[in-house]
Amino acid sequence: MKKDKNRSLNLVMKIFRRYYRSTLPYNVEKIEQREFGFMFFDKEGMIRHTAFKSVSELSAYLKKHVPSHVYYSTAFYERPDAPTMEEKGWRGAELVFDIDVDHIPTECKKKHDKWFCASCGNSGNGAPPPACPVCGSEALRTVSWVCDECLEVAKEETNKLLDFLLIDFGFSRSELLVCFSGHRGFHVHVLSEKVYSLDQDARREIVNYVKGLGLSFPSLVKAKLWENYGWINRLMLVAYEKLGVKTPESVYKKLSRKKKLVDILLNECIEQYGCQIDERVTVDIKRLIRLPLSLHGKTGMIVSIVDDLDLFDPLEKASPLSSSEYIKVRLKDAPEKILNYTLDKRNGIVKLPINVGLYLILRGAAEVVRDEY
Amino acid sequence: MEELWLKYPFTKKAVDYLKSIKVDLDAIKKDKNLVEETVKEIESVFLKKNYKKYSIEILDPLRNLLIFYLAVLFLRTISNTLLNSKFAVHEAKKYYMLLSREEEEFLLKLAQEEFDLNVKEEEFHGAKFYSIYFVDYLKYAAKLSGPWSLVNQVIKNGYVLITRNQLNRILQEAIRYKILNIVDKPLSNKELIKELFPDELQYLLDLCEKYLKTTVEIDESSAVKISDESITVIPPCMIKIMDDIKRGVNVPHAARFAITAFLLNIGKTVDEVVELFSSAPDFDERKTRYQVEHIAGLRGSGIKYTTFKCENMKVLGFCYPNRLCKKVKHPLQYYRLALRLMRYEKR
Repeated sequence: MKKDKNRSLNLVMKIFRRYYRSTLPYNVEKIEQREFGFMFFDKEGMIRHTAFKSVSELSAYLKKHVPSHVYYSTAFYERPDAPTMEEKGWRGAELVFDIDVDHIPTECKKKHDKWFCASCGNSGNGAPPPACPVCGSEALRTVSWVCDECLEVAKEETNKLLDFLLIDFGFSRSELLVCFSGHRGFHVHVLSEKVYSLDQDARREIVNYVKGLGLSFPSLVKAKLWENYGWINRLMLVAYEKLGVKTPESVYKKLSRKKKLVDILLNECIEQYGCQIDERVTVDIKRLIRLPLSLHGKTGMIVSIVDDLDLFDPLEKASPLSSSEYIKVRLKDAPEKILNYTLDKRNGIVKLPINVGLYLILRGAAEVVRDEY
Repeated sequence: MEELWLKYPFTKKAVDYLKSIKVDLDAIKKDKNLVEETVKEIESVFLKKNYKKYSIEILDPLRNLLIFYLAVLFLRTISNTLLNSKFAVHEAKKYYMLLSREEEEFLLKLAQEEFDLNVKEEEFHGAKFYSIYFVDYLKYAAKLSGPWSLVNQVIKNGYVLITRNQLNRILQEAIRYKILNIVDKPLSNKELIKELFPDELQYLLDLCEKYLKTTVEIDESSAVKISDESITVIPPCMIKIMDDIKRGVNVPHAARFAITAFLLNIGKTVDEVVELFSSAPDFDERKTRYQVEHIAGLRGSGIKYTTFKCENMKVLGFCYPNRLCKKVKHPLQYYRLALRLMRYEKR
């Protein structure tokens, strides 16, 4: 078994090395002002506070060290390699959004996610409860997987976010960089000088806006004048449908002194249009985020740039390997589905497309059985 | 139009004008009226009984300009952030009132040329509105609370639609920042103010001293050690709000509520809480006392309020967690736990 493990690691390293040797890194804007962070297959922890003068310098580093994970700062710094934040000298930051199904409750989680209580051995399906229902311990271990249903939810949320950014905030599509996170969701970067100076308070306001947090019914004047824009538009659409009326005035007439009904409509609207982003990522102006076009060390998939979200198929578009190659692996408690690929069995030796094999190896649910690749 | 700018001493045009006329310091020293008016201006900022009284009639713009910069000179020499902050708030309010009487054209010019704000005129069904680029809006409005939250604005193509009153208020914030920048440049040469205010200086210093004395320290220095990390008994979110208030930062309403309810719940008196707020730049003792008493349950419904739970503090952006915070869901729970830990440690 130990031998299988070594074999697996060798294979992973080989694939990662081959990828970085054959591909140019993403052309980061003002790369000399960014901090980089790396994780490795054979080392614990993260190497931070690294800086590069050019893309070719970064490329040489990737080829030489073959990291398992690559991150860069959304912030621009005067001295990106300085060890402390004070010394770095913050000069602005991209506006970024993270959509991760891990944070979004989905129906399919019951099918493919499991949790185990470390103290009493109890277990259950789906997202873990806050504490074990049997012994009350909070030490719960989880095993979660991503299926195509999960990815659809992530796409839907990303589409909602893009609506906010394109229509409400008026960015052009060319100012937005949409990336597959390499695992369970998408990252959206706003690459526009205009937003780099936004401080944390301002970014929190933007978070609350796309989430619909704190949304209230506007005054009738505003609703009448501006009914076709922003949240008022969304609110009116929901109200028209629910109340069967067609003008803001009649909405107000129907809602007058009906606080409960107002709350129902607001909640309905937020549920329908609010976007479930991980707010910490957006508000943090000193965050490291995965480098586009790098490989995700837990799935082996490329953090690929996504042009057409609806057509995006990760196993096809985000794999560093051709799907016509196969590999023989020994499965151990594999899920029924990896994205849109259905596995015939969950344990034992099987032959799989190499991208699926790589994914399962990195997630610890498979080992290579022969040095054939 | 050009003359209008002189009424606003913080503008580039006013400063350029002042430079162009080459002010004669000796003449100023001899102009006892001017010195006296400057003292009055400083009084209007720091003397308690004068709070909320703004002289918004500017009869002689040039004289007003000189008075403004003489007051600035005084503050730059004293160089105290609390005084600077109070001065900026006071002056910004004054010029905000003045601005609300100006023609629309000037308002827009000031926004665009002086503050570089991306503002446009909008018309809807015959009514005049403005739209401002959301980044510019957030720069000044993200610190304001409640009805200013972005989610309750109408945004179209990146522009937030606002009324003239809202534009005025945004300009007030912009002016406040601008004036803060102007006064926040310490001067080391103390001789100049001695010469300018030979008889009045001691009075002015006493006035400032008295203003600053109203700030009071609430004991937050006690700390517990949790695996080498020093953890304060008061949760970090509350310390941050108190620090901000003491530094003269204009903290949002929700934060004021949070700290008030927290302090009252850990046994501080209404007086102690009111004193904490006395360093807030817009302090009004009567109003503050009323609100603190309300939260304490001494007025109105009689309900004693508690502070926000952690989840809401997070949403409001007031959460700066330390390691102990992971164990609690409410700031008061944190306080009690920290006290227990401290007692345990002492034993």
